[in-house]
Amino acid sequence: MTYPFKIERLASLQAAARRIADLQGRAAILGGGLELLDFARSGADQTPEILIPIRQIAPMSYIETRSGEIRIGAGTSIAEIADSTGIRRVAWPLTESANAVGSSQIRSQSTLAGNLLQRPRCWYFRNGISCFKNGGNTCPAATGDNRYHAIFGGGPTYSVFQSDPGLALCALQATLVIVSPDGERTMPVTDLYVDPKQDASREHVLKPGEIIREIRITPLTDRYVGTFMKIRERSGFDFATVSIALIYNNFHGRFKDIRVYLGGVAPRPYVPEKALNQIQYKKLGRGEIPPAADLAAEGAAPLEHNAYKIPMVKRLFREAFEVTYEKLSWRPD
Amino acid sequence: MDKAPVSFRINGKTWSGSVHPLKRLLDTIREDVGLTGTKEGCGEGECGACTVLLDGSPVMSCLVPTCQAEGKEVTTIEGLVRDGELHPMQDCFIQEGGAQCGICTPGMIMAAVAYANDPDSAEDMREALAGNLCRCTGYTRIYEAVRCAMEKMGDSGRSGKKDEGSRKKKAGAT
Repeated sequence: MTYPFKIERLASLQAAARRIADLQGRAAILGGGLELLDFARSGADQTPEILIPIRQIAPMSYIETRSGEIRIGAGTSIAEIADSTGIRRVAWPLTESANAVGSSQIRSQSTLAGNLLQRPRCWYFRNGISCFKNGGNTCPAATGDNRYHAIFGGGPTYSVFQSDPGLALCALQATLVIVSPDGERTMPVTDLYVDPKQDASREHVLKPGEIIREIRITPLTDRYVGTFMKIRERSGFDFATVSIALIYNNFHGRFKDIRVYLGGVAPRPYVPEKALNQIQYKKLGRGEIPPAADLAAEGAAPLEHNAYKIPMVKRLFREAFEVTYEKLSWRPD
Repeated sequence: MDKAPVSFRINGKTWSGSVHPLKRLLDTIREDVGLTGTKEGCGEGECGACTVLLDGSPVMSCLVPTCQAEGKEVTTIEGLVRDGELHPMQDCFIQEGGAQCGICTPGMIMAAVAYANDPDSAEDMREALAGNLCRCTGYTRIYEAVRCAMEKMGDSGRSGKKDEGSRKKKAGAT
């Protein structure tokens, strides 16, 4: 194996941000390194020439509570998140999603920010076949073997969103703290992912030189229920065929503040609007769940080989609501 | 293509050398340190054959750039032997027939040792070993071996259960 990389060690995150911005696409952050060695082996991606190890520059691996928020360093491993009793207590969908990531080895190695920014698992892209994601101008999955691809969104790329913690963080309305050459800013995690109709070549909106430093979560109070669930082909460990993150609360006997995101079905975390609107503000009752679940795949435009995901979406939506409904502190039926 | 000095502890001894910072830890262990007990299977993080412990956590050494091991403690299958005695996990794999062709065995044992040291790190044994593939045994004998070893190790043999799991090294407490 050859290693066409150079390592550069810099003094601060700000310096790293400036250096990466200057070098544009030629430099990248070295976090857990999983994607990097995977791509170096397969040669499927344009690997960067210069790497900047990030975890040695600043404290990037921590979980702490400050100003009423849970703050997670971007370099914290998925295993540390899965292990944290603090997160389990007030942001348990994130714990559930962390436990669903890879195997114990992968969880020990991978970082939260790396997981959020992982490139698509599409087999055309990963095997170096020309596509929008690697400089080409087509999506081979549109007409090829698209059994694992998107049923929502209508292209032009059909790779799917695969980050389990990313889905949970959307439902938790997490905030990202981003270091850039000009300073620091915050951004809702729901704004991180780019619409492929705007830019099919990438998955997130961060520019070169923008580095996720921290992820902040407002703790859920005990009025809330929520879950993360995932259907996968191999139960040992696998990426999601369809996944869901769901959070809502009981507000004077009604379904309120519902946040529901689907993974594995669209290039970005997908909000099933019709189903959401159907059940939002309805009086709590088991009977409200099935009619909403029936609408969960509204607007789907499956490709030749992936229509099987439609009943899966409906079923998972229904199961997620039923499981969480049982956990409400008060329910009429 | 430049090599760089790197130093880490492996099986209790300090090792220093000059390798490319992004050379796979697997290759550094086999080619530079000279310990060939760690095996390469798929080379892409699917099979777990190359599992070693990095500061006590199981990792796939085919996906760890060597620079990530700087200053850390690496444990390979060779490091389990104490005073010429096999580790209880190794003993039990032999006793229960947990190995056949043997290519998955070093990684399987390392993942099993990590789980035995910190049973809270996974829901159960099957989940803990989900990242390690074996095409010979059908897993039943492996599970028997791990069960046997965990009984033998008891509480005294483990490295001690910590509040939030032994993987938590740098993370602040919450």
